[in-house]
Amino acid sequence: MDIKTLDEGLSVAGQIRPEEVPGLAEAGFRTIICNRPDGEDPGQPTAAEIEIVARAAGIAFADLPVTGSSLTPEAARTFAGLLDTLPGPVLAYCRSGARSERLWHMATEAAPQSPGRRAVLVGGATLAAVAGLAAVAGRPSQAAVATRARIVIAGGGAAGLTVATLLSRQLEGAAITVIEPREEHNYQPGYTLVGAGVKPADYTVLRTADFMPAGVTWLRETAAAFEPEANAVVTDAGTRLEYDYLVVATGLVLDYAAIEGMSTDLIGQHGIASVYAGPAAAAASWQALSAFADTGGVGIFTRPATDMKCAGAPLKQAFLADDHLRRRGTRDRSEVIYTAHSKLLFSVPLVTDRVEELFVRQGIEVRREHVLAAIDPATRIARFATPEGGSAEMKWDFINVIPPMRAPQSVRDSALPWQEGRMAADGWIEVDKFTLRHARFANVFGVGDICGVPKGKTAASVKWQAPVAVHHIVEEIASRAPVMTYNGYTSCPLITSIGTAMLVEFDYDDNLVPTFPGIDPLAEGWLPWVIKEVGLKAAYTAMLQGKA
Amino acid sequence: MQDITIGAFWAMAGEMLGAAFWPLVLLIAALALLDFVGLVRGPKRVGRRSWLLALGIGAAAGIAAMLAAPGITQSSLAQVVTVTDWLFLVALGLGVALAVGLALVALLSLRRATEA
Ligand SMILES: Cc1cc2nc3c(=O)[nH]c(=O)nc-3n(C[C@H](O)[C@H](O)[C@H](O)COP(=O)(O)OP(=O)(O)OC[C@H]3O[C@@H](n4cnc5c(N)ncnc54)[C@H](O)[C@@H]3O)c2cc1C
Repeated sequence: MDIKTLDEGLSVAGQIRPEEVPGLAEAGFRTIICNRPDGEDPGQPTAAEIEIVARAAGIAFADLPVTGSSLTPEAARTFAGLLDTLPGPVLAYCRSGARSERLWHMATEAAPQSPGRRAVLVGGATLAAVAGLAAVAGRPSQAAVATRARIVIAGGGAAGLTVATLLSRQLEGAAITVIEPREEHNYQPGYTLVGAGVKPADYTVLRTADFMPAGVTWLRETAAAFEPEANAVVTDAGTRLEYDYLVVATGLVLDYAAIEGMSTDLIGQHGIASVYAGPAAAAASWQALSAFADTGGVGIFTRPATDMKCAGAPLKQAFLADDHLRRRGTRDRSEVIYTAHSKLLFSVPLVTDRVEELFVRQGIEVRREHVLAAIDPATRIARFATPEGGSAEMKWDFINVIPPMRAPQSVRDSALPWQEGRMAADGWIEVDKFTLRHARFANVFGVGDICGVPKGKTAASVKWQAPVAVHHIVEEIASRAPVMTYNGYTSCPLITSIGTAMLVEFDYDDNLVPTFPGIDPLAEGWLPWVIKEVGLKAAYTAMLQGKA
Repeated sequence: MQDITIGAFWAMAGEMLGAAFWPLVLLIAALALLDFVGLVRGPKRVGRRSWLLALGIGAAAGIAAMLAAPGITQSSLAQVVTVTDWLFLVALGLGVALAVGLALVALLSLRRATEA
């Protein structure tokens, strides 16, 4: 590579290759400007490829592609603005270095007599360039960071949409693509209310289109293969998307098939309920629960052995059923049995103790270390796996089935999941629990249920995860040091009857972290119920739009 | 949840109320204006009996709001149990009572002004 020095702050060169960039950093260059459009020659490295390596090497990057016909005074002013504000020394490149040199001549000729060439010319720089500069220089800036980075978000649910909204606000010129096959978006925290007869099914039905931010490309396909080694995602329709950054936000899959005899068609029949499968399933579950409350009998509330979204939901459903039985006068001829997958009812010790207390008060029995393995709808007999390979059978009049949950197959088939340890079996992706950055693929982040982190499978966690992942991407693009971390915040308004709840909020260290002063996270009350019944959906949709 | 700022609260109220949000904001603003008028003009132009009547009606409205609020949220008064629940409910009742009472005072003072 031939480098020609034009003045103490600027050198020009012909096309550079990504592998040459670390050497440029060693040579003392602090900024690279690309003056060459992508695709001029076959095999030419793209600006984005150079940008990624440059930023990794601590070099600021700006892209100002010009051709013979676009070597205009306007382009020269923009170039001057970049030179004035980006840290020097700067290396500008095009195919041979000639266009970069021509830009420099035009820029200096335009303001020969000015006391400070750069100071004068910066006023003519484009807004995007200035925004980018402020960011690159590390000054606090509210302005969007200018970049041409390609960002792919796999999954447009709670996490994917929130990330897309935040990124589209904080980046200027980035190519952001959301891969999401579903037109319907579901407010899943509402399923419990639908399944308890408190809300109609359509309460949970929203439209993805209403929350897809402007300027973001929505690809209505499914991510079928993740190739993090090649920085690419391939969809079921065969579209191959190359990225500079990937955010995995696919959520999880419900593995009903892992329970022998169970299928989603059975929900609402034979006393089988399962709100997790969607709005229709939640409504059918309410029919089953209501019929059970009329007659009473044995009600069983299961919980899978895998990590699950909203781990408080199985508990809430047991409390709600108990309440319905009492309201209909059938509680005294009923048994309400909660089958816990482990010895504990909940992962946070303080919450476990409180739930144990409430279960005793309500007469809800607990069978510990019972994991639902099979059901026979005809005889209404459920088989549970118990410790040391044992099994136990129970007859039900009503059974609330919560399936095992895992990463989607395409994620599990990729290199993204944990390779060993507790998280590996179900394919949760290996991200750092504080930064949500992938442990092995530095340009990959996870947000939402898919993350292999100890807590955080709730929509309320997404509210805190999304800004962290976005912050790390934006700061890296802007060559600033990221500072934000996620503390494991998880929230679960634990409904204890229709009309009362406990606003349980905690972090990775099992600390209770209440949002509202005065609301005791372990006290049942009306206000937490109001927050769940009235406030949570509004908070959720505001989050998707980056407003709350 | 965490960090509920005024901006976030405003956005959530907008999401919660949908199309009814701005009409409601206008209504509350009108009520606040009336309350302000009531506070400024009331003491001089409204007699003691009218004051008592207005505040009595306001108090009744406040109590009605307190009784109705749990039901509107599919709960019941029996489920208002913690100190925070009660503080919230009382604050709601007081707010409604004052807003309605002062608005009535303002209306009475305006009526006096047109009669004079
Ligand atoms: C019954 C129930 C009760 C809950 N209660 C609460 C609660 O009270 N409070 C709370 O905060 N949270 C609650 N949650 C949890 C909350 O809904 C989830 O944690 C949240 O939706 C996670 O967001 P996500 O984006 O990771 O996943 P999702 O919102 O599920 O979105 C994932 C998206 O990815 C898409 N997708 C999947 N695979 C692919 C692929 N291969 N390619 C492209 N797109 C793909 C899906 O179509 C989907 O749109 C509850 C959930 C349930 C089911």
